[in-house]
Amino acid sequence: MFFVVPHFCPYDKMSTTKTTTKSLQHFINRTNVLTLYRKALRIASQTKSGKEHKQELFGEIREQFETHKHLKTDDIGHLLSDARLRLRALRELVDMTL
Amino acid sequence: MMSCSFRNSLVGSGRRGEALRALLSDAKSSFVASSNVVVRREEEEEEQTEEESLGVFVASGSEGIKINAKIFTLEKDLYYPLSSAFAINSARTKAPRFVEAAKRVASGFEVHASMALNLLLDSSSYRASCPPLTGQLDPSVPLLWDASQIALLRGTPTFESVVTRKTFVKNAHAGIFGEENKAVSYEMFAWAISTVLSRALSVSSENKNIDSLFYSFIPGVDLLNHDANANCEIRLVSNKNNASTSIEVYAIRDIENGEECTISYGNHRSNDELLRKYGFCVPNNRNDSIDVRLRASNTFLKVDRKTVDELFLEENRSGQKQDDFVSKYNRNEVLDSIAEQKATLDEVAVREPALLKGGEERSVGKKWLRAIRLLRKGQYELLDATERAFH
Repeated sequence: MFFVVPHFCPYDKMSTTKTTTKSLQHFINRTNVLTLYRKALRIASQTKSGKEHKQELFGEIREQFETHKHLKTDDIGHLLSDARLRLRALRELVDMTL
Repeated sequence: MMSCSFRNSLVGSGRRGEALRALLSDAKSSFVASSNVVVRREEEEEEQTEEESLGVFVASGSEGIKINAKIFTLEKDLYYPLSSAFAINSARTKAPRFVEAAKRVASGFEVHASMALNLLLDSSSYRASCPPLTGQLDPSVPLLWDASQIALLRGTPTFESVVTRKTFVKNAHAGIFGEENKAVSYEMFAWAISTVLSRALSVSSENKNIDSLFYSFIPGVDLLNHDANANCEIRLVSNKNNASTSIEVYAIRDIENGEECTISYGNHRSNDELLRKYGFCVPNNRNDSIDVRLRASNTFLKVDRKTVDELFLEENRSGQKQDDFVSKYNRNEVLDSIAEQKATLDEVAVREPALLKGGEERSVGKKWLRAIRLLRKGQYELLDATERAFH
């Protein structure tokens, strides 16, 4: 008796998939990046300097994060600390416009 | 056209008034003031010489100002050269590197920095009508205070905000001009930024076809002081084809003889915000609030005047709402934090004479010290009410 494996069966795919192990640092940094991104967007949304500038700010924040998207999550410590400084500056600037 | 009474009142109101008179006289038909308004010093400021605090008042002896009456009209050619739009365009043409450097400090800071540069280098006639940098012994805006003045803010949330802002402006100056720049020193830059923050106004229009005015110095109109219950309003209006705009100030209720004309700098501003931006506080500000830090849970208990009035007043104390509110927090933790914050405020109040560099003499009748005391009083009252509610 033949045991027929249908072509859509996922088993053969699973057998060839490589499993990569992510470090704890990867998950910590990933959380930090996402938190920073959300915080930056939230702060930018509070600015009172007009709709156009708000959109420009959103665009810039997205662009900054997109630019470094290809980097390995394990070694972005320096970028994170730089982003924190910029976030502080952004918060101060938004506070100035209120 | 300036009315005679308005022009004459500027002549007698000191150096700043004279400078403004010269600026507005040059503007000719671009500036129109009602014949019923005059400029004079606020009564309580009269003894002071170096702090010229001016205001617009209804001339006594006139019939007063009726609701919807126009008080000032300024054409675009008068305020546009002092606006952020003009400053940024001019900076982009004349000094593109400066704009890039300011943008690197924080995206959007180029607007403030360009206005500051425009004020320092180009708008000399308007600059003369602002409180000066040199010779101003006790500036009212915290960005220009020295360490001994800032130390008096300890125990209030304003302390940290002022320190952060000072650091930001210092870093911005170093980032844009370099630390050792003598042409534009840090003091000059900080003065210009604080002038932009405290004097520039944003005015939006009801007409959707014209853009709102974001940040502009508006000579004459910037003499109007703040009141939460203001009697005047600034409007941005356009001509028939929306080709040009002008700024008009209207009375929004009847104003009596001798009464001061006021506008609102923002209806929801707390004393903390007013002090940081404009350098004054108002008594019993309805928008004040406190943040009680709860260390164990790493959270804040925020209490504002509204909560105090609704839940913590004596007649409401036995109410269910108050019990519900209080039960959400750890009582001992809240009481400990409040005691700590009150102790800091008490300590600063006791040490106040010692913290003032010039001693008692420096503090007599000073606007900035009155503002700090009002801020502290407001914070103390809210802490007190919260403490009573949790006891």
